[in-house]
Amino acid sequence: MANSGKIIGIDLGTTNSAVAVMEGGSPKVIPTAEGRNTFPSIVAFKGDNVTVGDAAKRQMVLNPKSTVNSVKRFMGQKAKSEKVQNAIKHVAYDVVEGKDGMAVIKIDNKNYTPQEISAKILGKAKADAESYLGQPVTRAVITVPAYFDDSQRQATKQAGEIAGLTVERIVNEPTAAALAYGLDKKGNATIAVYDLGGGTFDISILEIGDGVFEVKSTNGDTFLGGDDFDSKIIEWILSEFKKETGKDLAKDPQALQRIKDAAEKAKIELSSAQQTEINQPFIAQGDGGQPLHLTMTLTRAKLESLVDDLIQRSFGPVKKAMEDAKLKPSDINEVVLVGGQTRMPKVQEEVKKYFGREPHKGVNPDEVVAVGAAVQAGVIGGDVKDVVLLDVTPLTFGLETLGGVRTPLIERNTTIPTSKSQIFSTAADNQTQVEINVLQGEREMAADNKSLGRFILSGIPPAPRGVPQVEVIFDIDSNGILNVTAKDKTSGKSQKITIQNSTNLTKEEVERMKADAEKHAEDDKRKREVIESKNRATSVVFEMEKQLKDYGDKVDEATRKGIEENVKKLKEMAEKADATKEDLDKATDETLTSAQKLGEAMMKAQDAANAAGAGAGAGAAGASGANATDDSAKTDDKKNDKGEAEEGEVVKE
Amino acid sequence: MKQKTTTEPPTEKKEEKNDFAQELENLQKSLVDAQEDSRRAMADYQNLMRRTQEERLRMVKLAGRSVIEGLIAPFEHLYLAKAQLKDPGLDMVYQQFLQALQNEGLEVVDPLGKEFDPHFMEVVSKEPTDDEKQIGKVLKVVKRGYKLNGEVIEHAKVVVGE
Repeated sequence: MANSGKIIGIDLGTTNSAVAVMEGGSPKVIPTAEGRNTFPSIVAFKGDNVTVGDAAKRQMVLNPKSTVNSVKRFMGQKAKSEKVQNAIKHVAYDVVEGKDGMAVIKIDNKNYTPQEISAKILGKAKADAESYLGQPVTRAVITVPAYFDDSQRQATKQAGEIAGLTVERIVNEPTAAALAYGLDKKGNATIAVYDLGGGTFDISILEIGDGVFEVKSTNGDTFLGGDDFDSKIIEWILSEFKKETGKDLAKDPQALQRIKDAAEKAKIELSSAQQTEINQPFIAQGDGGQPLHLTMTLTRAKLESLVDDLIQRSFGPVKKAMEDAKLKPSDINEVVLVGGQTRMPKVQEEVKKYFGREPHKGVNPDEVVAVGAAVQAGVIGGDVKDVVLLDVTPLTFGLETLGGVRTPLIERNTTIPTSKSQIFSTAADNQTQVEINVLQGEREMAADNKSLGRFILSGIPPAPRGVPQVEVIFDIDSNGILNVTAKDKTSGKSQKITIQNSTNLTKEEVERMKADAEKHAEDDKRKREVIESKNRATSVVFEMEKQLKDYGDKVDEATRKGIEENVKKLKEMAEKADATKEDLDKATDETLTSAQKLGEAMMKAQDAANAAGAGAGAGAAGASGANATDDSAKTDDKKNDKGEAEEGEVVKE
Repeated sequence: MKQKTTTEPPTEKKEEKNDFAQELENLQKSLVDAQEDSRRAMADYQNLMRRTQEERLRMVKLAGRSVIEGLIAPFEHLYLAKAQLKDPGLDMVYQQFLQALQNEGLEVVDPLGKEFDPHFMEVVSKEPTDDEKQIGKVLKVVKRGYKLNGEVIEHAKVVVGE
């Protein structure tokens, strides 16, 4: 079908590429087959084999002539142009003049257009997306620098088509970054996008009005990026080591590789720490054959002084872009950071200083352009509409269960509409009705939460406690209307309550209730544990009394008296207001242990009955007894049954 | 008595009918759109369930990976120390450390002499060689590679003959 399937957003970068897609209303960056969120924009040819991404990068040094990196620099460009001639100096493969004087890449005596090379990169993005989504992908939004001219944009579109993608739109990278932060929804604004990636720096000034982006100016430095920052650190390490030992590690490729890795790692660590240790033992051998060790401390301050000129260099193009747009820094309403190097605190500080405002940096700067492309893709594909974004419940919904405890059904921050059900049972033998007290809040005890309404389900056929199955369903629709239904599975009887405005709380109320719950969390937990222990104790007392009545004569006098004593002690303890969890649990376990002989007698009786074909079953011996059904708690049998809802804006079926 | 005529002029009735027909068409279209949205949402949800399950299995498989990854650097340094210092006690320590890591699923990849493979190795430099057999083979290992439960977590860094 022509217009089916998801549209993916692709950031086709000079150094790295990424792909994202809208899912459930949010953009999701698609991991590559190698499990990372970005992959190098590198294509390697070996005979008929073509490798793209990380694997291509790993063999680049071995096959420089047949490994193509930074092909974006040649897209839609004439071979003899100054830009191309300059870029050729930075690549190891051959770039020659092709059809119509356009730059083409020569690999093993075969010419490839930059479009064909880029198509391989886009092909990998497509394949990774298909693997992730489990469906074919044929449509994409691809981003390009804002300064790309018509020829370059056309070439990018062609690359997409070669890769088997219908390019629904070509979007400017700074625009995509602004979309990722939802800046299109902020009305009219002037936005500066500061993009410092691995190998290039771009500054773009955009204006947005009535949902339409306009590029006011662009500028940049095509050979300024994170790699240059790494080089500064490497140079420093080499010079310091030479000062200390007289040894020049630049001549030792193995040592140099270790230092490169250590330099990048140190740079990353210094984005969160004030200093880092660079330790590389046995880095080389001295003239006398003795091992040489590299050990240095690099502080953030030192790093900042090493790279200061690079950061300042980026503001040359920034100032020019502002001049071209005829704007002052104070005219900028929003600043967006793109590219991994913008993680550096000093970079962020300088950007903030220049523009006089905090830049947006919440979205991963390596992924922000892909995320924005996905947002655009979503709008085109109809995934993102101007209507509703799903709401969440601010507080937990639950009901009151045995002992005055609150059992949660729908946790707070659950996306609505939603429905959740759970099976409950009765607390006493022959209990024919249950009361449902619908609660909202974060506290463990029912009384500490807000009661939204109560109702009673009656007509439950008489049965031993824990046997009836009462299904309670909490259903919240997208308007926040809560319907609570209780249904007895045996009789089929049901009762329902509808609560309007269940999510209609002020922000202050919500925060207050959450803070309250946090303050009392420990206390509430203890209270709940005591009640659960009491419930268990009461259950065991009940069971033991029953078993003593039925099988007490099958054990000797001493044993029976011992069990009765324990049961009596446990019963009294369960009724004490100040009983502790530990005492209750201990007494319960002691009672169960002492009743083991009774259990044996029960089993013998059961076997005899089975053998005789009577087939009468008794409850399981020595059972813990507290929970009759999985995940169930018991609902209270209210002494004053009213049979009608008590409060709240309720409507009863 | 005057009687009010209850018959509407014919053109107004026709317009009303057209309005209803248009509204019906609009509602039908909205319904189709809403059903499609609902199906898409369900499909997204099912995909999410499937991916969550796959991710969970992957997480289990790579559990403890960050701990192991943090140990690789000092382990490699211990290996360098062992190679240089040639001390039997140090050899023992190294073996113990290796065994402990292997028990957690770690596998050392030492590709010395092997054919270069970009899936497991990264070339950091190349060296000219007169021996034809050494072309394309790993001449030196700058840093060994590692696999955890079969998955490569660090690619070996090598010097390859050309």
